[in-house]
Amino acid sequence: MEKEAVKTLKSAKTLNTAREAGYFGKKMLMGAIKAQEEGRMIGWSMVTWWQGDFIAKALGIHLVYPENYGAFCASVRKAEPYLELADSEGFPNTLCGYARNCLGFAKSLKDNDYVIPEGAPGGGLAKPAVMIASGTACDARYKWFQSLGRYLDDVPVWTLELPQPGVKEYFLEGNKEKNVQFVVKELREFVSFLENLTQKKMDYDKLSEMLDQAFKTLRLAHEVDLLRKAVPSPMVSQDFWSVMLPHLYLPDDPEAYAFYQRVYEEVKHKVDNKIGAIPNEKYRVMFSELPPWHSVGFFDELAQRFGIAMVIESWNYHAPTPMPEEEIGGISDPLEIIARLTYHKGREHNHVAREFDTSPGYFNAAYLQWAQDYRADGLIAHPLMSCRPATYTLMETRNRLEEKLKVPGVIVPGDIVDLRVFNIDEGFSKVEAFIETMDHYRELRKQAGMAW
Amino acid sequence: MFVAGIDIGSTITKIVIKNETEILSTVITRTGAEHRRMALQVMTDALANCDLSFESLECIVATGYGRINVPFADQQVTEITCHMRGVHWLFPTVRTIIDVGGQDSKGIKVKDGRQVDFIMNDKCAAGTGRFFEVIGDVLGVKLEEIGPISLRSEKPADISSLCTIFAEQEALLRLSEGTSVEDILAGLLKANAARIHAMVSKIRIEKDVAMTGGGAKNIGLVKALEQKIGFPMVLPPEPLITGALGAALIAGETARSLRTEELRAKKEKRRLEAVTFFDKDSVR
Amino acid sequence: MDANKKGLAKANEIYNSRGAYAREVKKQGKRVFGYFCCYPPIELLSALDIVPVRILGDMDEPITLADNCLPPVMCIFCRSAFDIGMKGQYDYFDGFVGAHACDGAERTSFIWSNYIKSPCNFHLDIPHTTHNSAVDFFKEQIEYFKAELEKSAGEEIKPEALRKAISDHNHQRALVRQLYELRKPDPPLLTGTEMLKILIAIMGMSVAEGNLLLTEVIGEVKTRENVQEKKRRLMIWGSLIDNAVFTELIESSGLNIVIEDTAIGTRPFWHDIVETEDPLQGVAEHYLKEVLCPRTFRDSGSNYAQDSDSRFGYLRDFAKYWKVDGVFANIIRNCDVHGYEAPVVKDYLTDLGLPVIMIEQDYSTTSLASLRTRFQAFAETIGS
Repeated sequence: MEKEAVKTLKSAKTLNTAREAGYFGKKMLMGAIKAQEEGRMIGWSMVTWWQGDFIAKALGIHLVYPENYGAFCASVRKAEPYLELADSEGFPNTLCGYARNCLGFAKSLKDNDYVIPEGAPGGGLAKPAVMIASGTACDARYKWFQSLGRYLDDVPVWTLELPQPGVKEYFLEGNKEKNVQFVVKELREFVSFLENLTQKKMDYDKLSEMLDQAFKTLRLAHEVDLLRKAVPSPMVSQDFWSVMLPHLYLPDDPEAYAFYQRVYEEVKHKVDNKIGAIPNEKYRVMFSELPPWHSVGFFDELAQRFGIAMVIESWNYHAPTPMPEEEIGGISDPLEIIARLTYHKGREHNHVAREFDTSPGYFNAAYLQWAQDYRADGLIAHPLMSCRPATYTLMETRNRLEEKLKVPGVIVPGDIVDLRVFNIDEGFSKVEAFIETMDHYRELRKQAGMAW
Repeated sequence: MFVAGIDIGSTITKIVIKNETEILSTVITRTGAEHRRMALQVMTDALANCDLSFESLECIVATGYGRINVPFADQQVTEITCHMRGVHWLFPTVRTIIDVGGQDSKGIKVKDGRQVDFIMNDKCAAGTGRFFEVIGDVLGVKLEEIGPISLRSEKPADISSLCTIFAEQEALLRLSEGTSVEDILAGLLKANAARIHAMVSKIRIEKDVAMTGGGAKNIGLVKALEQKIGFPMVLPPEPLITGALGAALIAGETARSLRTEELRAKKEKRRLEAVTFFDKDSVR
Repeated sequence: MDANKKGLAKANEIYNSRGAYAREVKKQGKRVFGYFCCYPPIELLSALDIVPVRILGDMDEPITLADNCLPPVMCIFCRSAFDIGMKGQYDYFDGFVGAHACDGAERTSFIWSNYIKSPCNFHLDIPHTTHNSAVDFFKEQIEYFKAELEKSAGEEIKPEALRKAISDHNHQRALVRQLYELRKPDPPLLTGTEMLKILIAIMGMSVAEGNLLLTEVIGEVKTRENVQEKKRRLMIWGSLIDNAVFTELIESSGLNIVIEDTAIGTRPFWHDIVETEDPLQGVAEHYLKEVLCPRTFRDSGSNYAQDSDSRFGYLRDFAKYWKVDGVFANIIRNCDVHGYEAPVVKDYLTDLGLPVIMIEQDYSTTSLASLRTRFQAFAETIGS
């Protein structure tokens, strides 16, 4: 086991199931090592919101996720040598921390003749046979894989397409259907590409089965989200950030579904018996967007010191809201189902965005809905030094929340890989001062006759 | 034939007067605020040291941060080219030069006596004189003692290497925790060396590696860098003058390449004066 | 505006006061739309006699108002553009066209439309690859753009008007390429600074007026007595430069800028739109495949060397025909698309024997001075 660095601040979490969720992280790591040993194909993939995962897995490719690897290396303080390598290779140090970690790692892999260097954190990543990139949400997520060509000379990169229309444009007649059909066409090409690579034919029945299971898991994960609306909050962000792994990466795994059934039960029990995740809930706070993986314990402290329950967080990691039956019912083509699922995830709060006259819908409008659903007193906005896409719209979200819903926000900066940018003492001071602000806005909401 | 090279750095001004084969006189002094006065001062002193007149200098090349403030220079060349030329004259086998100065640091790649690539960092104070002056103040250590004291450490403190601002804060934290000054200094030097190494790696470090500038006089920094690189570096006997030396060498080439009348014309235009910022002629 | 000015003098005047020029154009009864990046198909605007104005930032203006809406650690150019928008410098826009060019442009387009309202507003989504289905999708989005414009104008874009606009813009591209030809001689007949001002000027004029200006400039430059010294010949690749102070600094450091592969350079002008039967087909193909910004994922060739050659081979041609001595890889700090691309481009160019200097800069005139030494040293490096 890796030695934990002195400065990382782990969370005790509040749910038993959250404490068990580490099992899935280990399962992913062990799975990768086993796949390597058995000579199965390894694919490096971005988080594609299920757009590419099932297709690749159905063709026998074992996926590993370098974004996740970056977070892992950072949390065990082993990212630095890779960051230095990426620097010395000429990559600007403003690029995504996960990308730079991976670029550095890939260089070390190449220099070692593609044998994973000894001491690579978590067993490292094996040289892939394919890289699955995504154009959604962030440019790094395809440029980074493309630039890996320097070290992974003959590894093909496929960029999954997903339209990202503006809010108003999404509602233009016929646009949504056209967008979906575009994704379907692209997925067909993707299947051909992988069939060629693996020299196998896609088993569509197997794919449909995986999808069925995945939908069950995602639906259940969403049910858990709905349970979290209760007062007091039965489950907090510190739990979610552990629990999310199986639905984000392994929703087609029956073990993931079984796990969520236990999560659901645990959370339901708390709701039914009005047991709060934290003993002294005084403030209900939202969090956007990517968490400080290395210091999730910060929120335990906030709970203890100020009675802050982190009621909802990180929109992009959540299971999607269910699609209306009119849309998904009766569709049997698994590729179309996947297309609709992923497209829907990105667009699911566009109607909220339109209502509040804000854009974009993704990374932003969810919090306007959630503030109401979860009766939020405030938002902790966490701008990240090396992740612009998750940071660009934070101020817009904060501004709209304040303006339209009288819910204030506080800005606590950090970084996804550089732990030192997150000044924890300053964070506490800011939140302490923020308590007063939340009190004040509570009063304003009361005067305005709002529901919370 | 006599020539001069003058290197006005942000912190230190250097001048070299030489003939065809050897260095005749060098002067090294702190720059201060008035570059133009300093240029005149070092020139006057250097000439006195080797008993030469100003008129006997065939060509004068200025380099460094303040090179545009030398009214009597015939030519201005960047410090990158000058350091390269100076080092190459001293050590023809050097392929990589690491220059760590008062306020910036550079890496220069050399091939066949010409520079083929370079990199500069003037945003980050890592390893520079400025950083160590501040640290010296904070820890109560004289600048020239930092290196030797750091070598006494057997367990360098773990200091972040990503930014020297954090490094300073961490140094204070360590001090309050009871870590010894030598361990802190060793840790800082290690972190700074890592920063410098990362920068120079961008132009690919190749043997032989030379180090120049004030940083080369900090034995702790030298050792820390050598450890990062993996092999020893070549150090000039006086690391501060390589820029001025290179400038003088270029002056020599220019002098040889110009016809006598052209040289005379240049010399006639030159004036050894302390031109200040307030003269009407001082606008270039 | 001085109506008597022509050619280079006129370009200079318009460059110095884009806003004043645009406001005069409006007084003449024309509508003016602002757009982000090289991707919005401005031919559709010209077909409705709308003057397209490329949104730029201001390197001289400290960023203040943007702070409340956009984080500091982001593409400084986008931030600057939004900041001066908030300060009212683009308040004459009758319409705003945002685009999903890169993350910076995309998010800034959204934030812009949240805070700076225009009578007509469209956000153009752009796919990431050049697959056939991506071209089809892009064409669909352009059709929506067309419909929105028609709605706002209260009139249909007639096919002949669109064809004419495409032809006029193609003509503009050809004229710009002629100017580039005039930079082939040694020393070039036109400086990089002059080129920049001309391009910025035409990016704020109607296509007809722009073509007129270009023709005047070509006439003046062709017959020029050689205006400058021979210096090392520099190609610029990367993030855009939109301020002549920057090009002046480079060109006074021993370098002549002879060609620039940037968004205010060859990228919008190098290839003509093919006049297809359905004009929007040609438009979609051109903008997605032939505007060579790294934001588009072009992947071909089964290994690194082949892939690089397929993606960057055009740079080899630029270097050859413009007799380039060295390349400046320009990255505006926090530009991700160029940031990931730069080391790969540098590899490619270095293998061709071209020295490359890569600089991340802060898009502000106050930080330019420290770059002078780098450019001078680079000139000395490639000159030795």
